[in-house]
Amino acid sequence: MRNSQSSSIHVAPLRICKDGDEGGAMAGLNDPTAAADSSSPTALLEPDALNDASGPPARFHNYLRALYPFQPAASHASTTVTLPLDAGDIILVHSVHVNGWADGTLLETGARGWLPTNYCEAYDYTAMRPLLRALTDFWDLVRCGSDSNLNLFRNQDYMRGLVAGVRALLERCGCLTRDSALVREHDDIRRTRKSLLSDLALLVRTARLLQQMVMAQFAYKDLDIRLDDMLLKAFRIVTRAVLFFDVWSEQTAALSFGPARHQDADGPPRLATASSSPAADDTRRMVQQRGSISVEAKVADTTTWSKRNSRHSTDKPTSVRRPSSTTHRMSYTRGANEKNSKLISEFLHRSYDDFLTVLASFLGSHMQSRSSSELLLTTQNAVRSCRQLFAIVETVIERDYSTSRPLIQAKDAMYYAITELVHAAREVFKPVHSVDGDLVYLPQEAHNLLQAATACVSAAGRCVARTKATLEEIGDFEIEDLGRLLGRGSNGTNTPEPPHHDIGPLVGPRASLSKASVKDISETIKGRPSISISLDTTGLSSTGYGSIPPTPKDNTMTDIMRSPPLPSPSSSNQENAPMSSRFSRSPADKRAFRRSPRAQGESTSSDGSFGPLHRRSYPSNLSTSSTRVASVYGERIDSRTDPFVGNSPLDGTLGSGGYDEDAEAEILVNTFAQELVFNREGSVVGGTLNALVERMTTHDAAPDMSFTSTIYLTFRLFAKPEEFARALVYRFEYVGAYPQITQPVRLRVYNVLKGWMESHWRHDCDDTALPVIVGFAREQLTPVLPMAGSRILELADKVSSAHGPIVPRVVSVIGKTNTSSAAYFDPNAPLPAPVISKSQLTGLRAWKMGGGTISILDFDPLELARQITLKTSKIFCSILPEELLATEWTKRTSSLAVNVRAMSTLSTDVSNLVSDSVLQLEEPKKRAAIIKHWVKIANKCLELHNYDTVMAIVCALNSTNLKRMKRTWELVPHKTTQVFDELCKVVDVSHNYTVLRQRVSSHLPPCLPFIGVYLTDLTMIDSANPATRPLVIDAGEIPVINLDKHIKTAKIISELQRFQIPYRLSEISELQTWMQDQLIRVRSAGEKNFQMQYRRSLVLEPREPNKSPNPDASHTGKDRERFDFLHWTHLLQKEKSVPVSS
Amino acid sequence: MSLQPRREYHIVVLGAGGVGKSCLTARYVQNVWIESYDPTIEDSYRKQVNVDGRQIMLEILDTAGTEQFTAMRELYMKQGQGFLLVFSICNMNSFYELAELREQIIRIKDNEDIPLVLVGNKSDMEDERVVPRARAFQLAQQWGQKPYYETSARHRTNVDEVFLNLCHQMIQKDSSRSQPYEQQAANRRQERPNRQDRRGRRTRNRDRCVIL
Repeated sequence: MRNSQSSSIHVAPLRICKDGDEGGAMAGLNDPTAAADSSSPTALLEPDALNDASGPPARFHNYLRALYPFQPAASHASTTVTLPLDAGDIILVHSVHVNGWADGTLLETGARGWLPTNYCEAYDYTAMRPLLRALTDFWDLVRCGSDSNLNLFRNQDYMRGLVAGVRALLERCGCLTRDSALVREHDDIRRTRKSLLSDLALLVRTARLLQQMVMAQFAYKDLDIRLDDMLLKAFRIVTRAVLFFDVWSEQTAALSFGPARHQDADGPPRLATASSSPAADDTRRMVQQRGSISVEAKVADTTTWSKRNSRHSTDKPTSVRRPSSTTHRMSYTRGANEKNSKLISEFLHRSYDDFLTVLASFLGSHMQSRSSSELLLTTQNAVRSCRQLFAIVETVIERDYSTSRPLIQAKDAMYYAITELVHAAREVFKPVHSVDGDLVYLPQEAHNLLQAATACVSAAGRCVARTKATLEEIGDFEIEDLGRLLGRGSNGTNTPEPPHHDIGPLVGPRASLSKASVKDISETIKGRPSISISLDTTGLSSTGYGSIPPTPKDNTMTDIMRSPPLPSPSSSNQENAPMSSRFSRSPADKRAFRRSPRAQGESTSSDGSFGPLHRRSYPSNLSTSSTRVASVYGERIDSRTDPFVGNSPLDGTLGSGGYDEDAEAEILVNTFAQELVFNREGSVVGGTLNALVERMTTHDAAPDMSFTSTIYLTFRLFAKPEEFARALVYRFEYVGAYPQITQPVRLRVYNVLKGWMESHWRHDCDDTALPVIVGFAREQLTPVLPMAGSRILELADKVSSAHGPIVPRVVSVIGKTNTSSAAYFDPNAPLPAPVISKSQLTGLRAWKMGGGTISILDFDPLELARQITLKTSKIFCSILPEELLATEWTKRTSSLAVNVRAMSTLSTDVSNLVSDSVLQLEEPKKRAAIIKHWVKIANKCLELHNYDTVMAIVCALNSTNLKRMKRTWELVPHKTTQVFDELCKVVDVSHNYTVLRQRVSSHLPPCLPFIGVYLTDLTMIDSANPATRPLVIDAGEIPVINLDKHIKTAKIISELQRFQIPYRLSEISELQTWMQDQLIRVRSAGEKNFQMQYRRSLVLEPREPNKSPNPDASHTGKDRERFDFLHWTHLLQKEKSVPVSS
Repeated sequence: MSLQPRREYHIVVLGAGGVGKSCLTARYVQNVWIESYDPTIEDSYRKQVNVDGRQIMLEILDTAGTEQFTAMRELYMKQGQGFLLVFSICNMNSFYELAELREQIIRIKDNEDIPLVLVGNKSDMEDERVVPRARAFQLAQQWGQKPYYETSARHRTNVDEVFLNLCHQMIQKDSSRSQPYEQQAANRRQERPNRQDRRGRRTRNRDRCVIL
């Protein structure tokens, strides 16, 4: 981090106070720690850098809250490094230096820097914990894990933690639903809750957009900006949540304890006082435990923040408490924050974000047909948000014209790009297209559109980058709100109607051009006057573009800016009315509008609900209009309005709660998402059965293939088949309560069932689930989805009678390479010609008839290697994944893993055959020849990538029985021993088979890896990973399924499956028969084979007497040398005597 | 033979399938019981330990999962300098099978005195015990007074002790090769009381076979 480099410079402020020294600094950190500990024993992470202090070991807290404002002294000018704090700020801590300074990120602004921990206290409450944990995870993910791993954003799993965190907070506070008593009674609670939810909805939407972008494979260069933006949004959510929690604590405390506990701080403490009296601490602890937190001062007074206790006894009257019914000045936008949200760079970020949002839907739309009106709206939105961006850029240019030349160029380029886009869109609206129906893009048009949109994206990217650079040069500055910037400020005073319902002002003469183009388009579509209305041009002329300088604070404006969405449903409806009329369309339009790409029936168009298939693509677009006031957020929300539902007048009646309706829906959905455990990379590593099933059947993302395959393969290890079926049924049931996602989820449930029965049914154990499935299909599925129901029943019939999968399972379902595996062999390519002569074949036939003996030496090593490979490959390819689960192959009795067993048997047989073929010969010379031949065969196997046989042969040749026959090995040619040494290196077991693993991983199939490696891995995974892992919930820990274990298992199996592709070699049946006979012959010797061979080996080359079994004889170096010497002479003698003795 | 004792040792864990070898290894290598253990990386079975102030690197060769590849065993055994022979106290066969394994090791090493520890695993399942402790102890004695430990991989009982003991044996064997008898004997006399202090309840006398 850049900060750490300069840390030493900025440590100074804390050292000022010599009497406190480090102890003082530490105490400041330690005592809130202690307080938090007492109330929450399971607090946070491990002890960190603080440990080397002499004091009691402190815990590392991920979050701190500033108690006092901290303004770095002017002498330490570089405020980029030290972080100014306002009382009440929440800080995400990355590290804490022993001197008491911490490296942290201010959630409010996302600024990172050093801050004094003694100005802060730990922020850790049980209710907040899931959310805070989620934010930490989110941070880790976005900051550490994302660069290479875009797959992460293909779905929204990484978001669920935050959603679940907010849900947990609301649930714990009893404010989960809007109708709960607390929410009804307390305005503040309702408001803070609402703003929390609307921010959440915003983030969810951004995530969805990102998902779209990643799916569309579209330029990633803006990713960093987007991720930054998401992180800021996530920060904001937590800030909001903290505020909500403060308000909630205050309100509930007020209910139970009555008034006046709180006093306000009089300012920052001196460092020496940071370690305060124990009594004060106790008081605070008490107060903390009662969960009462004072926030009134913060709410009412933007400059000071009331501490939770009275460490400093200056009184501030408790009357500061705001009567709950008044004031709009409620939101989190306090002093500093207000300032920050008005920084031009903030605006820039947001409008850029908006613009990209719209463009993304452009890019997405070319892939599927959309209605014409939708395209129109999208174009319109694009122009509008582009204009907004223009306004900001122009403001920057205005500000400092001299330095902005490159920026002007970039802006012009962007302008050009958007014009192109509009033209491209217009092209699509040729008369040939039916007015009402789905647009059918001609390929060329679609291409143009896509190109134009892409050009827009990159132009905008450059422009924004340029703007940022300029801003860095000239310094960030504040402006009034965006509405003002766009010249809509006048509206703000008389009506709360949001300016964004109108088309923004013209940004310049050129922008009017583009707007005109849009109008053009709308006019080409006949019978749609309503749409041209939406291109409202009134009021545009009045605007000077972005020329309005920052003005003194306009009270009305800021009030509106800060105020949350309007509270009451009725008022929102009223408010909605004018807008509705403005956007009203003909009934026919409405129908077209709401028609899903898959053409829902007319029947759905008359009721107020949207078709479920709509919901599938845009699950949370409940409502976007109504109560938004002129907040900057409102502005951006609108610009990303989804064209499907965007301005439909019906929306107003749907949602009274405004934008946070979305989030409400998101949160209120009964979900098990909080029962999932994610790792740092954002993949699911654990969860309850219900949560996993839910993960398999999410409504908003296509199921992840590898996840699904893993579950199919391994679910029997953590759930009985009937339990799994029941969990699916349950999923089917509980999703029924949420109409907007019911349909897609139910279809997915059906698909999971179908896939299970078609390709993953295990007849040996899954039949117990049949009654559950049949019952479900009859009673629940058929009434809703008759076709699906009958299909399941049909399948149930089949699985109960058939053996083996009904629909053949794709080889290596899980393996990533499965799709490409077909490319590895060309079925038309001729098989390599066998290396076998007529006489060899004749010999084989003669042997079969009972005449003649054949030796291994009679055949070419290559051909023998091929035939062994074919034989092994046949068994290897028939290994079923279930044979590899739960160490099935090691079972002593009735193991199902027949093929794995066959592999090990074959391997052992080959080894025995090697030993046997060598040992049956009396003469060392002949034995050496056989050894040489086997080494050749092994080498050929290596060339064929048949590691299994290489292993078997090398094992045998290396075994004591053969290895000890020194006279034989002396006769083996040097070249052969060299090759053999190489082979030994390949199958070296040390370093966890590094060599073998590396070689195999680089091979393409066909290949026969040594299966033992997989078996060991699987065994270790099975026994070294526990079946469950703890899930931290607010009430403690519960054990959930350790899915990671099963994912690992599935991964190993998929690696093995990757190679389950047969060799393209021709079989020589005569040779196979002979080999089989040989193998059976050695097998029949049975268990005692090894001993027999050992004896035989001893007979052939007896022990040398000097190699006495007494170990002590060889203890000293001297002894050893002497023995070696003797040994040598013995050998010579022996060798001479051999021919005589044998 | 170098004068410096070897710094890297290979330990081979042997025993029938299902006696909990892999668990024993994993528990030892991991230190803490983590939810996620990846056995496919090079360092999965390596561990640095401090034995009497000496840093040594252990590589543990676990035959788990490949018990049926009988021809493979030798490959492991050749690599190893120390051996853990593991059986399950709940399975008599697993106990019987060890004798053959030991014979094989002796054949391969051509040496009766190999660093070896007899391990009766699953001591947490006392209820299902079928191998009497005395019997196992007796066998260990017959094998040249080798130590016998009862472990519970599940509860991580005696896991470290087993490996530590084996380390001592290996180091000792190493140094005994490069040291004169007298010094060696002296060392041993010095070490013994310490070792007994340090080790737990299940410590058995060991290394008595060495000729002094």
